[in-house]
Amino acid sequence: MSEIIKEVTQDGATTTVRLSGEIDMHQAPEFHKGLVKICAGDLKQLVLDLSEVRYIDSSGVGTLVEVFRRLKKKNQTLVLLSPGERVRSVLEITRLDKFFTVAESESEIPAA
Amino acid sequence: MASARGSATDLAISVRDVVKEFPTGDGGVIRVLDGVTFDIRRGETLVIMGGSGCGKSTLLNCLIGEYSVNGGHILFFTKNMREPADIALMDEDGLNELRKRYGILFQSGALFGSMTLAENVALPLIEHSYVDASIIDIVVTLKLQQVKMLAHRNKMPSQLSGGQKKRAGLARATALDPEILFYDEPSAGLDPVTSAAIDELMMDLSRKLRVTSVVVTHEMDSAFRIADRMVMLDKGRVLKIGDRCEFERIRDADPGTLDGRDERLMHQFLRGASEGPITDADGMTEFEKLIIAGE
Repeated sequence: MSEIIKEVTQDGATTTVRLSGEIDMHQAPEFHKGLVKICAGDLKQLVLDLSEVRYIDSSGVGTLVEVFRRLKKKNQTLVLLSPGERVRSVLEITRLDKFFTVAESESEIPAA
Repeated sequence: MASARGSATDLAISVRDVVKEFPTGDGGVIRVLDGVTFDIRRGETLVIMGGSGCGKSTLLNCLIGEYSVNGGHILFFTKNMREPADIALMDEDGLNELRKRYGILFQSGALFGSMTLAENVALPLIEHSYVDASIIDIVVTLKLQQVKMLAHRNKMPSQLSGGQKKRAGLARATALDPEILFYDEPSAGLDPVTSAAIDELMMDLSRKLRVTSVVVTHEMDSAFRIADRMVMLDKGRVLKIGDRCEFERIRDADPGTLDGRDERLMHQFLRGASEGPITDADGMTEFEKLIIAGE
């Protein structure tokens, strides 16, 4: 599927995707394809677990925005779970932290 | 070599004994860089400065691989590379690969006049990545938003002011999220407010994303605002490299307390004073030499 996508789990209407590694312009195309495939499934909420993502570049962030738009069209939601310092900095400098729902821990994930 | 002085984790570039010569019209050569040695640390903003003809622009051109060097080494310690890449020994393919890892903001912004701003920013992504067009469009929006030029995305470069071109040039220079950004006189020709805004952008990139920044400038207000460390060149050699505060001390010192010609020269340059060693070498100005001594 993608080197970045390590595990996909389903809990009711929530699909959680565990990601790991560095999301850069080399990885972004496959990562995007993998997420599009997951989004096509039966879900109300997509949770991307970013706790093991060490690096993300603009193409990785662009992928997150594209997936966010895709879900929004179908009234589905996207939650970014436990982004590390690097990911957080990129979201901040691009001002996307204002648009995304970010959960520090699983207990903060809104109900689907 | 450089590995003895620093590890790949703390160095971005190591410049070692770099010599650059140009042929003169009479069959001789003029040495513009004469054994330049210094390190650039990962994530820092290093300002390279010096008077006209000191070699700073030549050094920048050597750093970005535009000029080949006549001696010495320029080592790039890039992410995910086991060994440092020596730009002095690289062929064109190697240089092109390395160029994806750094961005350059040229004095003019260097935008393509036949493309809109959005197309200019998208170009490196289209050329160097396989990212979906819809994602490239999002990245372009993010980059233009970062430099506060989103409202101008469909304009042509000819419709922009100098400061706007610089901002747009910065958006394009950062399109591939470079590890290192080179800036050639980023404040030249800008009014103080626009210059300060460009400085803010540079500091934002450097501090939030740990982008290594190498800035060639002679605008001292800007240099002291953005620099972590500074390099002063004189006659093709490194006169001094140090933390910003060391240069602030020299700038603010009482001239009577300065130690030797080098410190007096730096003091004059940093203060933009008309009197001092730069204009008074050997006790005579260039004008006096020509008129009185006939040299």
